[in-house]
Amino acid sequence: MKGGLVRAMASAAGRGAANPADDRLFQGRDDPFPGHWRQPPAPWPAGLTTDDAARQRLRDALAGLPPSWRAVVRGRDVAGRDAAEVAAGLGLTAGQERQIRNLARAALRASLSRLAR
Amino acid sequence: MSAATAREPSPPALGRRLVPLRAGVILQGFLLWVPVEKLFQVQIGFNAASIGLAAAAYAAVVPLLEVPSGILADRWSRSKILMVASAALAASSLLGGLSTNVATYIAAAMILGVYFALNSGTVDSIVYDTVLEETGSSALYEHWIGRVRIAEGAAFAVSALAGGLVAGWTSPRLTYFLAVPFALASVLAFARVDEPQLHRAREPVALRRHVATAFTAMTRVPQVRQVMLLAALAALLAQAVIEFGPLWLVSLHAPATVFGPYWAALVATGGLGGYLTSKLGLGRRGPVVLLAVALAATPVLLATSTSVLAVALAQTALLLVVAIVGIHAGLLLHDAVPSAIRTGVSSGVGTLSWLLFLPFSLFLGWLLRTHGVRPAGWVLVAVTVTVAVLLAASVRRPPAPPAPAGAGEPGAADVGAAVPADVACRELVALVTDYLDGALPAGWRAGLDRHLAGCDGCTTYLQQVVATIDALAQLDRGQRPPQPVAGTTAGPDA
Repeated sequence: MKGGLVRAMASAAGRGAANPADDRLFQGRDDPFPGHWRQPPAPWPAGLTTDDAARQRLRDALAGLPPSWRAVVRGRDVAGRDAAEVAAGLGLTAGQERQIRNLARAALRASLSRLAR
Repeated sequence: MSAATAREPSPPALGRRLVPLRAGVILQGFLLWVPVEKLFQVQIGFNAASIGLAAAAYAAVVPLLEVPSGILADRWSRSKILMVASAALAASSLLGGLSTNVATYIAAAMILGVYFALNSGTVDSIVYDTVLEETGSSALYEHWIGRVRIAEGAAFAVSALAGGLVAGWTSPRLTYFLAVPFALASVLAFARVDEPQLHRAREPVALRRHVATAFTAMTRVPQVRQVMLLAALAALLAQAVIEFGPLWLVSLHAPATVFGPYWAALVATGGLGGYLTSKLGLGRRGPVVLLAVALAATPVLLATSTSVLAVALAQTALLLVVAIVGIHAGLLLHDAVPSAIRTGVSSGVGTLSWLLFLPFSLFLGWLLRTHGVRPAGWVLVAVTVTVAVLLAASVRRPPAPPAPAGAGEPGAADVGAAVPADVACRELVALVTDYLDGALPAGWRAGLDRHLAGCDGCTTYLQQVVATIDALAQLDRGQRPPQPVAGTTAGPDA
């Protein structure tokens, strides 16, 4: 009954491929325009980001982010701190701080988009 | 597969967060009964045919539970799934140790099947999402999953040696009882895992559509079918060597103490295989053909030799080659299917190989029982020749077009690479923060500007990101939030 152990060890190769900013958003290799939008983002109605509902939505979305992402966004985008200071405080490289901020902003934008629908 | 570049440093929080997970995996690895299982089975009345039956019994449980456990892991909690898996492991070891006949031991094997099904892929997905949460990209995933696997392999090897010694001094039965506290301790370790939340933030996938897409890719595309079969047969071979290989040693009357080092050598092939795969350059015909020949030739020794050492070495070599083939097939599959259905396809491979293993283990067990190890050795030769042919055929297909650096990986557009003639929307989304920060090399900046000039979707996206940033800057002005957001633990806070 131990054969499955090796199986479990070997299966690592095919795994870990799931990723969030994935092919649900963008066309795959077999589509007409690989890497381009499947469905381009729809424009937001005017004033979407300025009312109280949007503010509440942003707070909720921020609270739902992973702690490190939240810390980066709060430090950089909410409090307007310096990139180097925020990165150093969290033990991140400059590149990691930007990548986290990029993913976190994308997630927040997506949650505002759901408000527009 | 990308060129060797200096690895970026890991944030301290990442290593810290993975400590309980790694501890749990190491504790799970202390399965002291593993090297002497076949000895014990023979002692309580198993023959080769009923060993095959026990293998088929757990092989039947795993594919039934694999898909529901994957869904449960995403909807409920991955660390709790691991805790249940460890509890099943403890129960299986305990029941196995209490067994005095074939029936109860097969029940223990089926509980172990529950452990395999719940455990498979769960650790990987926790590591992947934790890396993504702590670094913003998956670049360090390979590094950290490698460290977890090395620790796991070391635990297997140490427990194999210890189990062999314990069984030699006392009895094989004791090794089962000694494994129980380790499995229970791993439950406690997994309870302390700080689980990533990313998969909850993702938009729910329409499961049915997802499965349908994966199934179409698996069944309609000949190339994918061929690579899937290669991967599944490699897994089947590995499992057959592990499950039935010790019977060769039993039939040659090898002493109990030999089984520890023998098993340690077998499990070491997993890690070594991963290392060698990266060095061999299997994109070229020469190394692949050599590998195919080694694969087909090695089991001939199992059909002809009567030396314990030769048989043990042949099995180790076979398992090493099979590990390399399996990892290579995993990479081929990775290239052959889009990332959105990759997980579905790789679990399809898993299910396929379990389903193939089920009748194969019954057959091989029956053959070993009635005709001994030599004909069984020739059956292994037949399977390895099939795999060798599939492997050789895999090199014929034209090399996959060089994917854009880290295509599909979040935020992984490689700004060190040459700017593509046509920047895709995916890259703009990956680089929009670098773009706004002015952190891009001039060539990339110009490429994105050209893209934006012609792409309404990306122009909208960029505007919305900027509007989001503006809204965030206004968040704590005007109206103060009643409380800092609950759960904010680390870092600067407003």
